[in-house]
Amino acid sequence: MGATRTRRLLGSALVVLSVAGLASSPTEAAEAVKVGVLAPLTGVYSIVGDRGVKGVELAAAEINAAGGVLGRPLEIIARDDETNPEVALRQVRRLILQDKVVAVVGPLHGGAAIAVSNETKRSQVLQFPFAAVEDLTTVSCQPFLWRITASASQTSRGGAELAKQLNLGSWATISSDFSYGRSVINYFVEHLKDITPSVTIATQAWPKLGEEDFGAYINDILKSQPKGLYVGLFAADLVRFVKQAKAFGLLDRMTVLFDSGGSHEVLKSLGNDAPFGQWASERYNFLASSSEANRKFVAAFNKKYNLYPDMIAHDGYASLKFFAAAAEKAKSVDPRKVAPALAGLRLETPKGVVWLRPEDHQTVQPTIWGKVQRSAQYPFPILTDFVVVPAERVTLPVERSGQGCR
Amino acid sequence: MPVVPDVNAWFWAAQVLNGVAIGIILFLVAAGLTLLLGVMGMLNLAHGAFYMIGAYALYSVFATGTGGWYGLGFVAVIVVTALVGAVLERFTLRPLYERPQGYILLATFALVLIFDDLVLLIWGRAYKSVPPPAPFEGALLLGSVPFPSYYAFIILAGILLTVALWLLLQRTALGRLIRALGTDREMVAALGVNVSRSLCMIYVLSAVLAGVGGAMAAPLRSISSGMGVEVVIQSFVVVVIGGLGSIWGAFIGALILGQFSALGILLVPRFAVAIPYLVLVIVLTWRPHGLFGSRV
Repeated sequence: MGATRTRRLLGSALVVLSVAGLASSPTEAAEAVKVGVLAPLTGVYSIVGDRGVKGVELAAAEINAAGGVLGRPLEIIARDDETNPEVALRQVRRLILQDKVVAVVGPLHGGAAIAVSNETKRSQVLQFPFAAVEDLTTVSCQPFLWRITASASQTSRGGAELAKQLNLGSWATISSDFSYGRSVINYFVEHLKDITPSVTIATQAWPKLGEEDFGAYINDILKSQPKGLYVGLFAADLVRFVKQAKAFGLLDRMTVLFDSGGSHEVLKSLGNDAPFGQWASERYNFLASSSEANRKFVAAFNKKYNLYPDMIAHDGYASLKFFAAAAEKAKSVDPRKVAPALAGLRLETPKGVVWLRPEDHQTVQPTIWGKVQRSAQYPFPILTDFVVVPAERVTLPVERSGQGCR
Repeated sequence: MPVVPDVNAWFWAAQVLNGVAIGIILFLVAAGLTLLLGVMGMLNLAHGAFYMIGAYALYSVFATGTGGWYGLGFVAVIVVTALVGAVLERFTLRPLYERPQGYILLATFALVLIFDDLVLLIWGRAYKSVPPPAPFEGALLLGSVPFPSYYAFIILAGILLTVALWLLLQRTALGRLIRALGTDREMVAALGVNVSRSLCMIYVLSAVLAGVGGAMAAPLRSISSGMGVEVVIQSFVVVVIGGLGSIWGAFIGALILGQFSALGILLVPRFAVAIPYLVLVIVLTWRPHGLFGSRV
């Protein structure tokens, strides 16, 4: 009797347990697919890095709301790379070994992106860098790295195409004296000479990165009297240069093209000191496209964060959309299967329809230039009168790119 | 347009004046640094923090949008840097005066890191920017060569400040006290002077000088966390060239460095970065105590 009762009790306990188990299994979500983001989240560049993370997270929210990737939700893990290659390397190892991510978006810093690329190549994890440095898709091209962001050469070759349209005859250049700063100008000058052989380069200035006083360089440029000036400086250097160029009256004396002058943070920081009426480029500009995709993206970003998306927000957003589309195509989230599915993949991003070239893993996309103007609608200077230089004219020819992937 | 000789002459004149403007700002920062070294024997790494605070304080007044923000801003810069300087001296540095120099070095280095993060917390992470005051927005013409009128303003204001500083040190009771403290602190104490309070005043004076330098430079530069680092390194070079503790040495050193930066960029652009340090090496080889240094 006692034994029967015990058995019955055990039996009902088992029933309860198994029912509980049955009840819990449908609510237990499919295992999340983890994607890491590496960006500066502290320090001066964190304001940019933060928007990159926001772009990736918005894309993840949209993908998850539509049922996830292959029925599995995406989980985003953001880590601070401190704009430092060594820290980025440590963080990517943590993301791969501890968090088991299948893909990494970032970093923004060129050196950090190359350091991380060595690790993603070795560990066979996908990487979508924010960095524009050319090497990533030329000599450092590798099977698992795919760049949604415009490359440095796309922007400056686009600048050369605009310079040709402006037909000014003589140009000067100024850019920071380090690898990225030099490559921006070299691609501009080389392409400009290719398409307008009669052009003359009046003078080339190479201030150090972080230069405080551009006065001597500005004086020299004024003396050489070019009709146009191409500026490869960025971030705080660019803010200083614009203010000093304005004080010297340089902006009234020639046409100026700012390679990364359309950067949201730079324009916002300059405010009334912005180079109004001059040309600036931005890899993505929220006003440049009237497509449905762009309208939806800008509205969703603004609603979620009360901010306007800039290029890094867009590139983070588009990178995750590319990953999701390729995973669906490959019917797997295994990087070894997703990577081949990325080759040749064409997708409409808020910027427009872009596609990933199999030879060098670079997106083929147009370059956007616009005029800096005051705006009644926005509390910061904006770009208007957009000139969109077609993708095939700005992207490096295949034979000069993707060396690392051959 | 062909380059005629007189355009060339104006061009070099503009370049020299450019160097003077750079030198003046450098001097304001270096003067405070050399004062602390000469009188207190203190190597204050946190000096750049005051340069940065000065620039941010000016920005804050500008951001309120009041007319006459530039003048009001300088009042704010002086008040804020003086207050921060006084509090820092009293609570972080004074307890360390009797300890070996290393403690002060470490403490002031910690302050650099703390202030770089503190400004991010207070003012946010975006770069800040202030324009030159309205009357000095445009460019003057030297012959046919444009020269920013704000640079001219910096040169004039800087010279006035330098004269004022010289009068303060040479012609006032406070100046005599400062010089006496540098010569023999114990003797001054024995004469009944409150040495702690005097040292605090010197620290405050040095902080205000750096703050004013930062605020004067702000309309030409970007305002961001860590902006004081570069200028402090250059100021150390100036102080060493001029001779530790010598105000005149710092003035001449700053002007020399300003010229070498402005002209060096044009003559030997590839070595422009190394020029300040080359000057330093040459001066130290020739005069190990600096141009105007007598004692170390």
